[in-house]
Amino acid sequence: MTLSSSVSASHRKPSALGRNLFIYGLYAFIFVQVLFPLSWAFFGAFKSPSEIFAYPPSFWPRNATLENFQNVLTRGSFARAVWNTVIVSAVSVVLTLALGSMAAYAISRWNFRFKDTFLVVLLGLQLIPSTVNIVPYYLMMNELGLLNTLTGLVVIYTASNIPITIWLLKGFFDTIPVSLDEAAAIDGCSKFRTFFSIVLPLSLPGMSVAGFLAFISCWSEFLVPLVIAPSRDTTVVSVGLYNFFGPDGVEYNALFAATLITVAPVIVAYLFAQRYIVSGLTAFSEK
Amino acid sequence: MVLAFTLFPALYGIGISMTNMHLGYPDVRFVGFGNYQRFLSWPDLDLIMRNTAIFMGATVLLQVSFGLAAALLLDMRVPGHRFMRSIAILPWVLPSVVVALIFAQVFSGSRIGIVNYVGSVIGMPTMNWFADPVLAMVILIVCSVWRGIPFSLIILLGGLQTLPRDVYEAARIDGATGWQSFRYITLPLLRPIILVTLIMASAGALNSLDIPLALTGGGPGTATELISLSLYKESFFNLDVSYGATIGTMMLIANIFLIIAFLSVRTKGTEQS
Repeated sequence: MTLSSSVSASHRKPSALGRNLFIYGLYAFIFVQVLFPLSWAFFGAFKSPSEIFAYPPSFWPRNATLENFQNVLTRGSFARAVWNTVIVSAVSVVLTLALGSMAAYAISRWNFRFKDTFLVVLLGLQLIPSTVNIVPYYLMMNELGLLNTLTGLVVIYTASNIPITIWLLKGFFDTIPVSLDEAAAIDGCSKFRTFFSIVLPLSLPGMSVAGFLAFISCWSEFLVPLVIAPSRDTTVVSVGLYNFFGPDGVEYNALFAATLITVAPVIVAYLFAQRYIVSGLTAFSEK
Repeated sequence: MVLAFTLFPALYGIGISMTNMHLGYPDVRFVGFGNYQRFLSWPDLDLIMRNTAIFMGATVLLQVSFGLAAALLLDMRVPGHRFMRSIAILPWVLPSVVVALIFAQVFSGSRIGIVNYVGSVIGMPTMNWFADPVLAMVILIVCSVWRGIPFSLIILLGGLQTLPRDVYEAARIDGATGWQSFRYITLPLLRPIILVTLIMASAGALNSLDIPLALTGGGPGTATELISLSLYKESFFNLDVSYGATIGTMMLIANIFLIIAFLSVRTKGTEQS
């Protein structure tokens, strides 16, 4: 083993070295093109107004300050927007996972006629974009009296995230052997008990991916809240940021601080969920 | 409930497009295909279709080709490839408004805008990027591609990982070069996944409204006006929701074609395997 690998390594050595240099060169390019624009906003959040508008511009903040965060969260309505977004996202994610996981479990365990058709229709529905539905959404929410309410947002977010959740979790539940369910039934577990104490704990990775996807979609959604809930009391962070970016004199330092507050939860969630993302989404696109 | 908020709105939207509903006036009448006639004789239609086609074409092409290149790169097992994947996927999780605002700042027209500053160091004049019709479209495309690459990358990377390794091994023993095994093994085997990626990127570009709205808002003038933006503006600036719903229905038809294409590629892939 050692011998053969060292032989082949020495055979390939010159080209392997060149190849690796080439790969890491490209890595550096990706690294810079992704992180440079972001780092600009990140460091900008810690700069004072005078430094933001100084020429030539600085990359690292000279006198790092937390003043921007303080201002953004105490002045104006951004703190309210953060709170609204937290509530709406949390409620929507919990509802999506609860309803979606039960539906997915039912689809995974029981056969019914047109099951495959149902699944394909579900996938098709997932692909109807909110851009097309935005006018009907507005009129429906108006009829239901849910314009400018957080409830209206929760309803739309939950409904639009359930199809992909069902798809992801159904694929996951299919990998859990039915014999486990049967063993539980013999031991006297009810269907619900089986689901909650046996299947759900085993599906934690699947639930994390589904929950993460639902979370970033709720947290980032822009068009729906812009149209459905634009009032001051129901603003969410994406709309709040957009309003910051008014036509006259952008306060970039405040904007950057607000951006950082908006992005932080998503990045943290991403760091936890990223291991599962590639495998989870692959299942969605080919299963 | 899912039906109530996915299928029903689409049907309801078609219904609204057959009326003269306007948020500014109380009366609502059935007008049949009146709005569709208006759509077809719309003076802006040519311009919007051209802009949308340019935007979609460039975005899809760049997003999928860079996505494929990045997927091939990140599929190579060298130390650090997992870390690099996390970095490369990062733009996809950022809220689109944030991405648009960051790009607006990077290409800011004043001399402290980053691109202008870097340009001035190498002797380029300070440019007002968003005031130029062509540059505004270019930046809009760059921004959308930047945010879109990771999604294509994720799907393609997933596809690459399902390819059988032994075929490559056999090709290598037979003396195939890297390019040959890419051209004659990877591309044909990956074809269904590439198609899926192309379809999804097209749908993403067609329906993209967040970034265009926050970055250029269709400007300067109507230089970056896309069909999704007109839907939004007709409905919520001009309050002409029935006309907005008409544009929405035309977009829905385009989407249905993409969805059918997507589902048929998928089914074919499943039958083969």
